[in-house]
Amino acid sequence: MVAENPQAPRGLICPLITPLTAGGDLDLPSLERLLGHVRRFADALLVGDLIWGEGVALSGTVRLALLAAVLDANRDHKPLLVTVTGRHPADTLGFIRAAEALVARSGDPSGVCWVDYPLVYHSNRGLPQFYRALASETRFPFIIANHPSLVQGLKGPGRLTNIRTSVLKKISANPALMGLIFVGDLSRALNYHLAVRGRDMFTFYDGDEWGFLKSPASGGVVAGGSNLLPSIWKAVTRSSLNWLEEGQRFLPHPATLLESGIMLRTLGELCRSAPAVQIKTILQRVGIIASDAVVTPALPHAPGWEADLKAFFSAYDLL
Amino acid sequence: MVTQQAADVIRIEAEGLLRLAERIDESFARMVAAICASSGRVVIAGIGKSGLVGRKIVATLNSTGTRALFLHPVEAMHGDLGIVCRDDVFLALSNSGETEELNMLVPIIREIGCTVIALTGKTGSTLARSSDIVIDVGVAREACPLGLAPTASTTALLAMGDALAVVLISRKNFKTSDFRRFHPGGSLGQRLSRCVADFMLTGGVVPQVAPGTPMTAAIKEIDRCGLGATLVVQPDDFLAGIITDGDIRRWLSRNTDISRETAEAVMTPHPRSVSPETPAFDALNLMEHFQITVLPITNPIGKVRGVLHLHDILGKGEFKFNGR
Repeated sequence: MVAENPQAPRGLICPLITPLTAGGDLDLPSLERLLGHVRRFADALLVGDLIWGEGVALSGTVRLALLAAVLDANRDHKPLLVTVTGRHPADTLGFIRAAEALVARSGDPSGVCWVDYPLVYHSNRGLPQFYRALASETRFPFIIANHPSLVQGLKGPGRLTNIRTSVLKKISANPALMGLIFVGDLSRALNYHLAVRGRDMFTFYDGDEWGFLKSPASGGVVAGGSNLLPSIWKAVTRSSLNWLEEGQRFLPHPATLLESGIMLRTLGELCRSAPAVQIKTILQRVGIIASDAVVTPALPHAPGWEADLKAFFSAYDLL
Repeated sequence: MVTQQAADVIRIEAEGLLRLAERIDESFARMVAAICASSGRVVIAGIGKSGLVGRKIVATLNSTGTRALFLHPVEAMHGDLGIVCRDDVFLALSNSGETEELNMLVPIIREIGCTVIALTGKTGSTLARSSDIVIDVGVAREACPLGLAPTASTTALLAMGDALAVVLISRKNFKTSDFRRFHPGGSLGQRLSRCVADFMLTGGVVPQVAPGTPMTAAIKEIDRCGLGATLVVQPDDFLAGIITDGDIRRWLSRNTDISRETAEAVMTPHPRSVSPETPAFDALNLMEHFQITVLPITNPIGKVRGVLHLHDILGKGEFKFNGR
């Protein structure tokens, strides 16, 4: 049963990539280094994300090892979002149980929240009932994600790739649901907002960096680029959400922010076609992780990508 | 006698300005609103000393983001009037409000469709009566002993022009970067255009040690570079922390033998840093606010690019503390 009044994190959510060794095991030293690089700047960490963290492609063992390592390293009690999506409803439930046991053993259950991409393994039909059943199995709240292109990529064309607005309305009545990571067009976003207007504290996040840079969602952004540029993403997120805090006097000048936005968009463009593979290559080149190994064999980078990357490194003096 | 007379002049002018401040009313707000609402320019006209003040107001408005131009009333009547269009706001400057050349011009300006604003010392004058908005810039007396040469009145006019420009800066959200754009040269431009890269130390003079370095070696490194601090840098140049003289002092006040420690144990982890492209002015503000003497300079992902010492920036050209 979900604890009462869960608080959704807000701001910059960093979907951690999953550093792997060439043999496919979790690369713990690289993970520690990555965490040291991003933890100070992110408002929350997202573990095992389907887009950036290779989620369902990872074995259950690696996913749990990743969660255990992040729980262990999370000394400053940063809110942790954990992607629980499996290939089937039973996979998802199984992972939730295993992850919940890990969290309980870590002794730091505060701020943990499950993230689920329901349409990867479930249709719209019966989704509200499914979440009622899931919520009864866990003490942690959920954030669901709507990502049409991911669903299409995994399930093929012809499927309904968005959560129906009427279904979202019913799901959101469940107090275990705290928010939605949204990728899609603005009209759907507005309909979704209308659908959840009866709910207090339902938080919308941008799942698309470009969407956030253009018209930021009120809850924040899941920004894969923050694996590389966490301080820049933090400044842009703070500024976009108009957060006032200590040191605000030293927020970047608008011209600097504009240049930062261009830098983030350029990085986003470099990672657009194969996010996990491309961001890993970049992180490996700058020395944050040791290997750019991925679970699924990666296709060669598109022609011109290396030249674009070189220009990016050179323009921002990253190497 | 001479100094007394000079002091009296200043006093008379200051009194005039103080009275002027008390008389600022709704008309001033209407003038600002009219200029903000206009898509055209501010056209300023005046004769004699008022004309000279008008030229200065034009210069101030232009440099602070409000397009303005000066129109000589006589030249206007001989063809220059063609420069005025209906979207402009017309500011007529005349202390007496009876300057014939200006008063001849006003009806034509009104016919074009401009809003006419009079800045005059006589609110009942011909100029005031024929204007849409009247700003009273009158003074009780001139500093000239004969009461003839415009002195306090032109000072009042000048101050009113500055008040207008400053209020417009706020209303139009004019920023330092905009000012820099309009002032590429000069000391103000220098103050705003220099970036940290222009002042920072790079290469072998940047004190740095690895996290595992014994503190005895770290202290030698601090001494070698003479900046009172050393950066603690991970492999691949990532900044891990900083050790300052203060960190060592604080450590010693709590412990005894620092020689057995490593840099990582004593350092302040994740210190504030800025990028080489940060405006030097912003870096100085940050150093002043957080009382930082040595500021690490890093690239966007936290790799060390240099170090900035307060003495390298303070006192160079226009750079000084704000004293906040």
